Amino acid sequence: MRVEEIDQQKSRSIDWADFFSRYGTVLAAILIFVGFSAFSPRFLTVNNLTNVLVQISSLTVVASALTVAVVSGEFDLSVGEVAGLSAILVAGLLVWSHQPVYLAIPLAILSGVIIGIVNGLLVTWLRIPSLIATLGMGPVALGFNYSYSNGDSIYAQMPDAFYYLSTGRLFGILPIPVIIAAIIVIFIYVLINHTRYGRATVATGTNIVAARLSGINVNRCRQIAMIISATGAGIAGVMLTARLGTGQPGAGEPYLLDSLTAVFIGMTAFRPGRASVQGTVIGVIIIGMLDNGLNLLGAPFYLQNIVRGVVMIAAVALAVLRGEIRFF
Amino acid sequence: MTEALLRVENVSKAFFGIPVLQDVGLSLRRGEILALLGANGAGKSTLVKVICGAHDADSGAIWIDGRRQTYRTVREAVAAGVSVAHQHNMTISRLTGAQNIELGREPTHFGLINRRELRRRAEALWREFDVDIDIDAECGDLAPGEQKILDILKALATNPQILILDEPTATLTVGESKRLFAFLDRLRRRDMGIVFISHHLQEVFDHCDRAAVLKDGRMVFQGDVAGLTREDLVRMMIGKPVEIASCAKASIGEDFVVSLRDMQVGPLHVEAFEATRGEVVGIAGLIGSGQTELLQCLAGARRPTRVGSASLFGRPGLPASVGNAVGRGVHFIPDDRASNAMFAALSVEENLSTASLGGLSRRGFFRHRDANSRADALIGSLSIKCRDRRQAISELSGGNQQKVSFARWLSRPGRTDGGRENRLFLLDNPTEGVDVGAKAEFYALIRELTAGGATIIVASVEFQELITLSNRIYCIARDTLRDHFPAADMTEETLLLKTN
Repeated sequence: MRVEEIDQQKSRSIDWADFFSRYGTVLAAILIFVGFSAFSPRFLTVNNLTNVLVQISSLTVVASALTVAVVSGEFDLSVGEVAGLSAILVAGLLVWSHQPVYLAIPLAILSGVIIGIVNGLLVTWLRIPSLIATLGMGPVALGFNYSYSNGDSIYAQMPDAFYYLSTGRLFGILPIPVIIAAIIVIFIYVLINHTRYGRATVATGTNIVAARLSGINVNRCRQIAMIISATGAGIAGVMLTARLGTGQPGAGEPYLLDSLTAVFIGMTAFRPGRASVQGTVIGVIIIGMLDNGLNLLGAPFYLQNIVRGVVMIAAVALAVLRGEIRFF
Repeated sequence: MTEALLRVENVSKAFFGIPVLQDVGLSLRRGEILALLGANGAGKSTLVKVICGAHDADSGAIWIDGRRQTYRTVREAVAAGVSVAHQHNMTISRLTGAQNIELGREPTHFGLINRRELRRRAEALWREFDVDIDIDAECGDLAPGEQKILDILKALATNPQILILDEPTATLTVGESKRLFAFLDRLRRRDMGIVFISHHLQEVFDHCDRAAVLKDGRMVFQGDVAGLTREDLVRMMIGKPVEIASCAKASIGEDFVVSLRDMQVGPLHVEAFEATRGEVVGIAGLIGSGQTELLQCLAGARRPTRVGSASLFGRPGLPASVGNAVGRGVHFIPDDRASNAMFAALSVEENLSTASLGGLSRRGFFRHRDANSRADALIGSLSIKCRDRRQAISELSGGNQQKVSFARWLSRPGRTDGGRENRLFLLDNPTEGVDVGAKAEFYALIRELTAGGATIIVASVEFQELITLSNRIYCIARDTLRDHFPAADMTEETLLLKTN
């Protein structure tokens, strides 16, 4: 009997450690939520929370797509500039070229697809580390952005159908941007966890040599992952312009740090050390709540920058402490 | 009876409540080589870590030269005279031998490295231990055996009395091992005490004075090697006699599965190489003489520089990619599984499924149910020891990891040609770091495969293994692969002669 009791105690304590390592990040998100609700009367209102969800929806799209690249073992540092390019393109196509919405949106997103293809070719054909390849392609995208916009913002009324992307409500309740984000999250979740491509990509990201020797086409996996990542950024750029109502050349910039932070936070959750889209969503929610909550509490603007940087470093530190991943 | 140099007394150690060492005692005398034996997971590494200060024992004591030791860190253990050369090569390939030895304790002059003094110190060590390795050559240019000796020299630079060698010969060829043992002999004559860990029992009989056998965390034997037999040791390690019967079949078919003529890959020139259905073909060669590259060419993982003629299963040409090779029934089990065959962060099931993603998917969607039941079946039929298919593969022992990297090729879901007669398995050093018991299971598995008509090509630096497994053995000599010999006529010595 006594031995069994000891065994039970032991197994219980191990379960707790395991529980915290899996769900500690989720608990942190809940704590932040409870904390802001307690300190700011305006935080826990339907209006504000809906607002937060709408605000983080485009970041959710970038970060979820970036997760695929990270799962494949690559980085994509061009997402910010790609989002910026597609944001300015969609505005220019609608306002300057008077293109219809159904053409302007796909064309803007296509710019992301093309940069994703180039990123992928640089990584697979020229064997340039993705960190460097995308670090270089970012400024290239920014250059196209400036050459198209001359560096100016595009202020003009865009078609109402386009604003539906940001202000529309399905059944009068569900905000359209949140629905778009949810669809993309589900798509990427299924892609990573329930498709042949997802399995092959996870294997490639874990050990590329072993994956190749298992007969997996590792270059195709990485190429597709880079395309998905940049395409996500392109979609987010369109959503961003719809929300801002103007085309702004530098609008995509914050996406890089925020989406990387979200992915890194995600790597500390559920299956520690592995990037997952569900983890990334937790990361995005944490970032969104921190932004919104600090605003409501009247924190100075520079504090948000500091908090962002600290959260990113803390997330990576936590992920690395688990000992299973090595960055770069 | 002289006082023991090192005495380990009733040491116990548990991790998370699971006992790894229980009441282990060990004594080491001056001027002897003590073989520390045990199956994978018997507790050898833990015992070594306790002795060298990396782990604290839960109870028990360590005495050196009659003095009780209280060290708690590796640094303190080094000061007490204990030094370890670890299993994996720790030399840095871009530094010279001398620079490697002095790494981390370089003599400095106003903060800059004093190269002359560094060279002088290393030279003194070279002379002291009578080493004949080029002191100024970059380590990457040295043979694996020479790098191992450098590793040991590095351990010797702290002037230890007790030297622990963790599987120093695991990656060495027979010739290189002999050179290493000659070096160890010189150390023994200097009254040093050496603890030697190895899976090669023959080395124990040839070079060790006494043996200590660990089984499931307990010391089950300690005594002179003289008078013991190979079977005795295996019985003590495994707890039951293990029969390693020869796999070779007498008759060989006529139909060629593989036929290569006049192929060049790296430095290796393959004049002629053939394998027939149901045959085990061995490739004997010193480490790095091109056998790995040859297997990679057959597996589609590398293109040869030049190829005269090649055919696989009667079809001309070598596979263009690994995927292509898999489609043609060629399966590669590479060496160094940690970097080439294993997804350390993934589960057993994920590892087993990676090579069969096509067969386990329908219209691009992965079928978890199929993958799970296939994984369970493979775990059962190869008796892979794991908690369940969800356990991380990095938590398994070396032998079981190797079983997984083999097992993933054994069933090919979604293929109609389920038979094994059209399949070729390429094994590169398949039993590296695998214990005797698991080895025997491997050999049995290989025999079963060939009985079903599969063809196997195995390259190994363990010549005894080649002799046991193969029908014929090809020897690589002077960068050329041409001659083959019936395995039954070969001994380790003759193979050594033919590959040098």
